[in-house]
Amino acid sequence: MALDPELFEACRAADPLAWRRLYRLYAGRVFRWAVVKGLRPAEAEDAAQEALAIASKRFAQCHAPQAFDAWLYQITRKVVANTRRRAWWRRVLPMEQPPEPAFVDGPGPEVERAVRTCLARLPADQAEVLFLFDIEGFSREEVADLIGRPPGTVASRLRLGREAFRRLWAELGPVALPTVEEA
Amino acid sequence: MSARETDTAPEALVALRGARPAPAVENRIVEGALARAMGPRPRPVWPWLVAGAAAAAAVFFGLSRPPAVPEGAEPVAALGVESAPAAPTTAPTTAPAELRYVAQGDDAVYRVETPGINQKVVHLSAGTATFEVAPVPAGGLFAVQTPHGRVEVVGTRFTVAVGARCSRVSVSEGRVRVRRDHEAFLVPAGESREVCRGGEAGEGLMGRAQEDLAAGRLDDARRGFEAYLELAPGGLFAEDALFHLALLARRSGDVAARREATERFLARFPTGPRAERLRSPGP
Repeated sequence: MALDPELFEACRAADPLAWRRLYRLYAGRVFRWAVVKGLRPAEAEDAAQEALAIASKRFAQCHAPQAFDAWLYQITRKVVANTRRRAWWRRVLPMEQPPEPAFVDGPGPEVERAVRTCLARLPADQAEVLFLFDIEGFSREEVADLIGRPPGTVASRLRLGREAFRRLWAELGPVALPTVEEA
Repeated sequence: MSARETDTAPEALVALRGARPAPAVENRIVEGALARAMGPRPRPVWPWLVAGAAAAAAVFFGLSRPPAVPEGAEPVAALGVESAPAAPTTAPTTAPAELRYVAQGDDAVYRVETPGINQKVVHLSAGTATFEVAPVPAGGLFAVQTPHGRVEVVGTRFTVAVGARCSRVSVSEGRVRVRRDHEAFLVPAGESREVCRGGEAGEGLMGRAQEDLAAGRLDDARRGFEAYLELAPGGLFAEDALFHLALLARRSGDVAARREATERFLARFPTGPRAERLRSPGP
């Protein structure tokens, strides 16, 4: 999905009404990125606010509407990494809890929890490729650009990630899945 | 695991495509991001460190005596930097004509034009939007253009609602100047005005009277309001004209004139905050 060029130009002209529209368009998506990358819903909400605010302050660095999604993803990735770094205490304290559901129109709380648990247990580089390719729908070349690796590496991580995810799913996933048609 | 399986996305992952949070969460993200993006940025620490180091060095080398002021030089305050009047807005702002907060209804249709430095014109063709703007410097401009008129900002918070025939401007802080064709009038805080297609009879008279009032030309203002009421006794601004006449009469100290002007207003507009204010015994 590329950003509407007219909206891009209005944001570039620092039009606050355009920024509000853009935030509305991307709030849910950035939140999803943050949740699937391992943040709790409350942390993801805060991270989404932070990522969008940073995007508006550094918008001059985004050179084209087609590049906006990838650029915003990179910002979100850094914000999520910082948030996880700040939450170091969670890693050292034995407070492991099942993730709370974050979405209202997703596949349902059981499936959502299971997907997030499986992704959290995958190697981070495989989980990221899986997330970008299978959930967010970026192309192989876009994913390669986003993570700074050649397309061959992306393909390899994707294959390994899918295998590992299916194994984990067989072990941890709920029994029945809703019927989903791939777009 | 078969090759075909690794070629396709696991169904569980596909099921998460397009998943969204609750609308309330989305709203909080939007509002929070706006507040963070438009709020004051934290001041960097390094200038203070540099200043502190420079001051320490100056003391150390015995250079802390203030330099002599050259003959004829003026202190900074006298040049107007420190003696500038306080901004009419309630919070600090970062740049002239910068929007600090904007809220618009879902129906707002607009585009923004930037005709020059420190100049911004929002063309609002339908719907409602609220603006809060930093004081506009000399030569600067912030305006909202509707199909019925143009609202120019002096440094304020106001709402513009565009209807089929009229645009209504409601001002909550500061004041705005409303222009239509070659006429203009000021709308002060706490009041609202409509600008309608084709204009209202005597609108220019009212605008001038209000400008006279704002400038302290009370006799001219009084004559202007009376002229408006003579021209358009049932006009859109009749309530405003009668109210200002009553206030002017109160201010004059003439008891009989005050009573007459108050009764004249109350006869037509017996209820509402303005009626209550005129009934109050204060000055």
